[in-house]
Amino acid sequence: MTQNKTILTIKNLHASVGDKEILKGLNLTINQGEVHAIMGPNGSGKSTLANVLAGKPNYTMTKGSVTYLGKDLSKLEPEERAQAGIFLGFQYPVEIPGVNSMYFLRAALNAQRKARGEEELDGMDFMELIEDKLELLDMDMSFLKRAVNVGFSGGEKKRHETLQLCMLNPLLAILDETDSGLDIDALQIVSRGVNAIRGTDRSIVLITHYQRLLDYIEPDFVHVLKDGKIIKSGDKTLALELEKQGYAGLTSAA
Amino acid sequence: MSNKRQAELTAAKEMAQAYADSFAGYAPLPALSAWLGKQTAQAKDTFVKLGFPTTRTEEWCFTNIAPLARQAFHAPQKQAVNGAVISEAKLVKDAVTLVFIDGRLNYDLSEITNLPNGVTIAPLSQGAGLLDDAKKAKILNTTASLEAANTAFLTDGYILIVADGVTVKTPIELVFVGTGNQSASHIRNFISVGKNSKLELFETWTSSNNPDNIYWHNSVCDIILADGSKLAFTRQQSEALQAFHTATVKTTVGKDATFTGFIANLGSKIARTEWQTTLNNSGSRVELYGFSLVGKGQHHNVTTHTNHTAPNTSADQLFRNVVADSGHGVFMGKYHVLPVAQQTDAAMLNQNLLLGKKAKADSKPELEIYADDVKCSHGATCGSLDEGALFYLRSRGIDEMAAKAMLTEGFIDDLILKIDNAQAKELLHSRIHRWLQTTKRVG
Ligand SMILES: Nc1ncnc2c1ncn2[C@@H]1O[C@H](COP(=O)(O)OP(=O)(O)OP(=O)(O)O)[C@@H](O)[C@H]1O
Ligand SMILES: [Mg+2]
Repeated sequence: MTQNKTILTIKNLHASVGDKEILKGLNLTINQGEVHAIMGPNGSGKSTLANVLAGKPNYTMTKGSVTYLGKDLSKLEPEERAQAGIFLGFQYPVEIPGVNSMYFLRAALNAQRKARGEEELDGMDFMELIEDKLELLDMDMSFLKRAVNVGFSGGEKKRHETLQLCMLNPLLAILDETDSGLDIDALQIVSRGVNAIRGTDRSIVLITHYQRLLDYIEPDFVHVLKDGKIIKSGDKTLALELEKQGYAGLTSAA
Repeated sequence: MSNKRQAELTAAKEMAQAYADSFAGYAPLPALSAWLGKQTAQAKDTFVKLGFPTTRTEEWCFTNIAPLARQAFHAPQKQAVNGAVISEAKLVKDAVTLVFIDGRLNYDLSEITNLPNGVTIAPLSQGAGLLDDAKKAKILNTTASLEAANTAFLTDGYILIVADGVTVKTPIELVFVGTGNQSASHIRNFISVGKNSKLELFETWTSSNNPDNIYWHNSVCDIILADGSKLAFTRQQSEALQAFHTATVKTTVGKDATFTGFIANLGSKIARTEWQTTLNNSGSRVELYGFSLVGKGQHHNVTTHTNHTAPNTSADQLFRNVVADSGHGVFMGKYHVLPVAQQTDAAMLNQNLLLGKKAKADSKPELEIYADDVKCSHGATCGSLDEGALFYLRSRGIDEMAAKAMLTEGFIDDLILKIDNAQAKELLHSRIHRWLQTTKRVG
C-alpha cells in the first residue's frame, strides 16, 4: 500500500471554549483519501474538535499544533480554511432568515472559486451543477427558494448540509453527526452524497454515534474520543465492538 | 420650569424668529398668496410663538433638530438640474412623473403625457382652487410648529385627485430634488382617492449630484381615502447626507379602505417622518412599513400615530433599522384606541440591528387603549448580527465583510416584499446592496 499525502496533522491539541478546556491533548493524522470515523460519548469534545478545525470564534487552541496541507491552521480565518478546502457539516445547522438558499450557495461556491483563482460560475453553469446534485440527493428545487435552513425539518437540514458538501467538493470534509435525525431512506441518500465525494483525493471525518452509518460509508479508521482525547483507534471492527460493549470498558491508552 | 429647559425653549423660539426674519421679504407664489390670504401671517405667528421643536417635547425627545434650526436658510432660487439625476433617482421607470426642484415644479423634467383617465394632478399653485374652503381652513389650522412653518413659507406642492371607481394602472411618482445652496422648501401636498379606486403612489426625495448639499425639505401631505379605496404610498428618502428632511403624512381612511405606507430611509443628516393616520370607519385599515439605513453622523426618526375612532378597524406596522457607525435610529409609534373602537386589531413591531459600538437605536412603541374588546400588540428588539449565522456563512468560504453584508441585507430584504411594484422592489434592493458595499459600514 502506497502512503498517500498527509492532509491534516493534529499534535497534542489542547483547546478551550471560553475559559473551559475541552480538548486535552488530541493526536490525529489524516492522509489523502482516507475516511476516519470519530465516535465517543456525549460531551466528549467531538463537535468542539470540528469547530476548532473550522475556526469558530471563541474556540481557542491553547497548546499543540494543527497542520493542514503543511500550513499552520490556526493562522487562517474560517473563510480561508473553507477556501483551502475544509468543510464542516454542522451538527446543528443555523437558520438564516432573509438569506435565500440558492443565493447563499452560489455566493459560497463563487467565493471559494475566486479565492482559488478559478473563474466564477455564471447562473447557467451553476444551475446545471446544482440540478445534478439535487438529483443525486433526491432533493427538490423548492428547498433553494427558501431562506437558508429556515423552517427546514431536522432531516432536511442535514440533507441541505450534504448538498453543500457535494457542491463545494472539499478536500477535507468534517461531518458532525450528519446522520442524526435522518430516517432510513434519508440516511441512504446522504450516504450516497458522501460516497460521491469520496474519491482517491478527498478525506472525510465522520463524527457519529451509530454503527449504522458506517455500513453505508465504510471507514478506514475508527477513533474513540473521550474526555478531550483520542483514547483508542482501530479499523471498522472497533465500531462493531463499541456497539456491543459501549464506551464504559474503554480507558485512556495515553 | 428649570433653567435649562427655559434656556432651550428660548433658544428654539429665537431660532424660529431668526428664521422668520431671514424670510421677511418672502412671499409665496401669487396664486398661493391669494389662496392662503391671512393664513400666511397667522402661520408665521404660530411658528415664531412655538419655536422649533425641542427635545423637551415628548414627540421630539430623541431627535434634536438644533443643527437644522441653526442653519441660515434661504428661499429657493431657480436652479438647473440634469435629467439624469431624475432617471437615476426614480423608483418606477415608467411612472407618470412630476419633478419639483427645490419645491417648484419643473415641467421639462416631468412626464405627464401618460396620465391615466380619472386622475387629476397639478402643482398646488395651479390646483389649489380644487380644494374647498372648509377643507382648507381645517388643514391649515395647526398647532405643530413645522406645519406652521410649512404654511408660512409655502413653496409649492401638488394636488392629486383620483375620481370614484378608477383603478389607476400606471403608477405616479413625484420626485423632489434639493439643489443645496442652503435652500429651504416647504412643500404641501393633497391627495384624494375616490370610492373604490386604487392607486400606487411614489415619492422620491433626493438631491442633485453634490453629496455635500445642504438644504431642507419640509413637507406636509394630506390624504383622504374614500370608502373601499386603496392607496399604496411608498416614500424613498435619499436626500444628500448633509440635508434635512422633515415630513408629516396625515391620512384619513374611509370604510373598508386600506392605506399602505412605506418609508425607505437612506439619506439626510436628520430625517423625520411622521405618519398620522385616522381610521374612522368599519374596515378602515392602515399598514405602515419601512426601513432605515442609518450611517455615520445620520439620524433617522420614524414616528407613527394611529387613531382608531370606529369599531372594527385594523393596523399593521413593521419598521426595521440598520444602524452603523455613529448613526442613530429612532422609532416612536402609538395606537390610540377610542372607547367606541371595539374589535380593533393592531400590531406594531420595531426591530433594530446595530452594526457598531457607537450605533444607537431608540424605540418607543406605545398603546393607549380605551376600548375593552381589542387585539393590540407592540414590541421592539435591538441586537447585533447573529454570531452563529455569521460563522456558518464564513465556514462556507464567504469572507467576513460579505457575510455581514449578506445577513444585513437579509434583515431588510424581507420588508421590501411589502411593496407590490416590482421595479420599486428591485431598485430598493439594489440601493440597500450598494449602501452595504460602498463603505465599511458593516465592519
Ligand atoms: N460554548 C460553550 N461554553 C461552555 N462549554 C461548552 C461550550 N460548548 C461546548 N461546551 C462543553 O464542551 C463539552 C464538549 O462539547 P461537544 O459539543 O464538543 O461534545 P460532543 O462530543 O460533540 O457531544 P455530543 O455527542 O452530545 O454532540 C461539553 O461538556 C459541553 O458542555
Ligand atoms: Mg456534538
